[in-house]
Amino acid sequence: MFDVEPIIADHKDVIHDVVFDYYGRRMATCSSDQTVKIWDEDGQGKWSVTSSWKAHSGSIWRVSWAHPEFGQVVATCSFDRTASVWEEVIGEKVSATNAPTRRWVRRTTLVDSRTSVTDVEFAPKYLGLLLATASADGIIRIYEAPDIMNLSQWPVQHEIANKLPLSCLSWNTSTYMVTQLLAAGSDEAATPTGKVFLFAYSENARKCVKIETVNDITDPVTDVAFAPNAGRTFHMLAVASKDLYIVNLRGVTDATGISKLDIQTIKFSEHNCPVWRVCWNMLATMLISTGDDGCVRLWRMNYNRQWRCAAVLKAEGSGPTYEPAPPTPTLATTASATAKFYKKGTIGNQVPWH
Amino acid sequence: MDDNNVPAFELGDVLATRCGNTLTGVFLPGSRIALSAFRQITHRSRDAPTETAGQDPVLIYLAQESTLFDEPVLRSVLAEANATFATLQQLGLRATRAEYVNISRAYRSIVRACLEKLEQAKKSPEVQTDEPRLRRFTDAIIVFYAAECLWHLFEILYIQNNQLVVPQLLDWARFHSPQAEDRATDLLLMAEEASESDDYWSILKSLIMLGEIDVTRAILSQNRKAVQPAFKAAELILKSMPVYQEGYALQKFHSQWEYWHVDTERKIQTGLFATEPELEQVLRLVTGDNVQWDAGIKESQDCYEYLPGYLLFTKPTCKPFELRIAAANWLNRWHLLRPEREHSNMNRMIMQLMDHDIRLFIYEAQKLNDTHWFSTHLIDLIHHCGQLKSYFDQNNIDLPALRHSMIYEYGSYLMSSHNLWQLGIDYLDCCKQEGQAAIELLLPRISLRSERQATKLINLARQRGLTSVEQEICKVLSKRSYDGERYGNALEWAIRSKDVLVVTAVADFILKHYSRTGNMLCPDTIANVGGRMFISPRLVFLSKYYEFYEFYRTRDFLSASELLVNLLESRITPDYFWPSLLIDSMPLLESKDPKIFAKETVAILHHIETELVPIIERDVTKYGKHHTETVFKDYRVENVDEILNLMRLACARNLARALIIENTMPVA
Repeated sequence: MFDVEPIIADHKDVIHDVVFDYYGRRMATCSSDQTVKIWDEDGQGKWSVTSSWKAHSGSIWRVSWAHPEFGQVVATCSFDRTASVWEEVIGEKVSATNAPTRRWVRRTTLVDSRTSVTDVEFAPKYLGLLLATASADGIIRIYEAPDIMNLSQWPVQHEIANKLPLSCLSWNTSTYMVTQLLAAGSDEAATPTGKVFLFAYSENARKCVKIETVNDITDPVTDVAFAPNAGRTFHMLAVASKDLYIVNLRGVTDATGISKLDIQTIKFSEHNCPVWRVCWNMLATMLISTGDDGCVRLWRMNYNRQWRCAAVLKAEGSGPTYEPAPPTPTLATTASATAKFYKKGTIGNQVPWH
Repeated sequence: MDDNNVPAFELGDVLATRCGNTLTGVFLPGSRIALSAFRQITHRSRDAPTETAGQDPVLIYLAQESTLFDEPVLRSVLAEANATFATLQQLGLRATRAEYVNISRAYRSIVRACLEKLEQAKKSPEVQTDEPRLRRFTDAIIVFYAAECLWHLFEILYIQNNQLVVPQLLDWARFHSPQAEDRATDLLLMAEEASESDDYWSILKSLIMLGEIDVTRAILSQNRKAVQPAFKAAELILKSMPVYQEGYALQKFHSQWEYWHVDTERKIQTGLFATEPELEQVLRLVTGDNVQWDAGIKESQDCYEYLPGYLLFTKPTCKPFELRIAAANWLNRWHLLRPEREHSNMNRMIMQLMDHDIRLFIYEAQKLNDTHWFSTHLIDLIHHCGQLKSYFDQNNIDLPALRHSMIYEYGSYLMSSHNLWQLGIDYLDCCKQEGQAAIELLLPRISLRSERQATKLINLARQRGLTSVEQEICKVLSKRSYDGERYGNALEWAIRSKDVLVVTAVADFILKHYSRTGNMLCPDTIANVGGRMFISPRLVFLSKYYEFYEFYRTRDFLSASELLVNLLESRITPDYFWPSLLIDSMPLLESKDPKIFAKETVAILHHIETELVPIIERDVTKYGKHHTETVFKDYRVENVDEILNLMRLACARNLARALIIENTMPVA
């Protein structure tokens, strides 16, 4: 059972990314209409746009929030071959009574890429204020803001070239076994080679290098996401490809004392069609996958640590119109085949999903 | 517990159902999901507006798992259960059965108290007029009523674990079918008049079927015909019914009961009650007569309502393991007589309990719309009291793992919801390292609405040794204060974060601001830094410089001079602050009675030549001679060369004065 609240996004075209800040109280959306919007939730749980601006001269693929200890900072990347960093600043005080206005200022435009910048993501905060971009020409760039009080300087720290075009990247937030671990995926369809690559900082080379390729996944990859790590002794990477994959990465040390990653890939074919996007919840006990079948699937880990599909949310249906609630059942009615979303608050069926 | 039947929900978004579009979702804290229409495009497709752009509204749906606990009344259930949960954890695994029963009762009384409050609140006018709230209350009553009923039965069968279950089952059935008792009270109050009441006999029958023998006798004794032989005989039968008491020899009881039973049947057959057919029906119920009971079943609300009563009159010494068969038979019978009635989930769960099918019971319990309040606390209790250990072993269920995962989920659910996080943390504390790791992830994500809340979070983090969380919160607050131009706060939180980079950054800002404007920001905070200054050399410099600034302001020039010379020697002066610092020395150098000794004056001169001049030269080569973007942004400085010359002159003059005085002092 869900309570659903629709928000009119007021974007002129399809939204490509919806991202929430660290606390879940602010939302950033970006769209093909080349604008970015920032939303704030008020005390009653209502969301409203507090800023909206044209950020690029092409479709905006992705948006990413920096950790709040660096302030209110987002990064965007676009088809227009650039990525930008934006910071919210306090404007002039209009009057003594009104709260000062806030606005977003472009701090920098990163113009190093010669092709579309397909993904952008701030690094976990233990690395400082770092930003990684992936681009269609296969290059991962890692930028760093050396002065956290002045975000106009973003020198490139690492540049890693790959043979295949890249469509997505994800930082690992955990420092267990490997530091500065980064995964990227390619949506190249022509070659039957591995499409997910892992990068990490190499002490010997003193730079970020590719350490592994996940060879089990040879279909085009459109999204990767590292799971937040709540005390696990291995890393989990969700991959959206022809199917949904969960890749478990374990650090192992072989007889010669060289440590490497042991890769185990689990495939989930429930969508029966390509999967476009993946997203973890805060403790990585649940996963959302977006399929081409018009469905969002919710996966959850059961008590013996198997992943099971817990619910399906379908795009189709008669629309979010209000219908009177059916008579209250004596207890939770069990999962009947389909229940509808209503505009707000309806007795539907109970999903044991949290 | 595989469930291939995955529940599906329909959203019905126009944009998302358009050809080629689909739906995407992301998680938010607090079991929420944001859904929106999605269309996969790659870098290879042409970047143009979608053909259908602007035709359909672009919507974002915030889906939240519905929860009952938005109501303050219900939040108290969570809080009280949390306390009971904590007590149970302290009891551990080796407490006596009585103690576990007490815990179980404590949980139930929480629910009962809450049900009462809910019923009351539901009647209040503000709830009555508020449709969604009224529905929420109704839902909550249904859910908690079910929880209490099931918990009670569970307690009787699996926690108390008495040899005989009928008396407790009777209590249970009576509690959950209170209508008969209410009506019985009415009859008692009406005394003799009651005999004429239309539903007199039907009430008596339902009382008998609930095993309320004493109440039935009381009502019968008030009947107008109570003195007649039939009524007297009935009174005798009911009065003499043997009731099993703890410690009684079972065998002896059995023979007594058999005798009484046969005797009663015989009395009925002799036609002793022929004049009073209704009374006879009541007594036939007492003998377990099938026809009468079938009629009773047809009147009953729920299938379990009269089962305990039936057992009382047919199998008073029913043992827990015999209950399974008795319940199954009863259920079949009930079903045959009432084919139109579908089984509610609650009835099914009651039967699962009687049937000893705990596995299915737990599975169903998780579907209760209470965000797993019931199943989590019950499983935790099962785990602690250990009665069902062998059952879980036989069924290959890893009870500790199940309990752990339930508590973990429940705790993290509470902790990630906005108002309930303080309750969640206690549950996660019971989940060993995994819980600790979850707290570490969730605690810093609780939005910091006030400094008081932040302090609370910091204390919780500190109690658990989560230094990184504490630091993170301080850093966020420091940055937030900085952005809000509350620099004193920013410095204070930066210092509390103990992060060198952040402290240095804030101190830098304050120093630069001073050298640019001559205003010292947040003097109070700086004055109170004290021993904490050693976090960062820049903070040491700031504090010391502030000390100098204070001496100077209070015209304690000797102390000021001494401190200034120390600062110049200290090697912690940031590049950009050299001009400020050296200019500060000028008035002291130019003073009529020298404040600075000859040796120190030489040192100052040395610093001018070795520190300041190179910086000026560096800037000149970097920016050109008259550029404003130099380190010389000091508010007092406009002409660099002039000031440099003045400084040299001031040094020379002070040196001359100092040398004369020092060398002409009388030898002491």
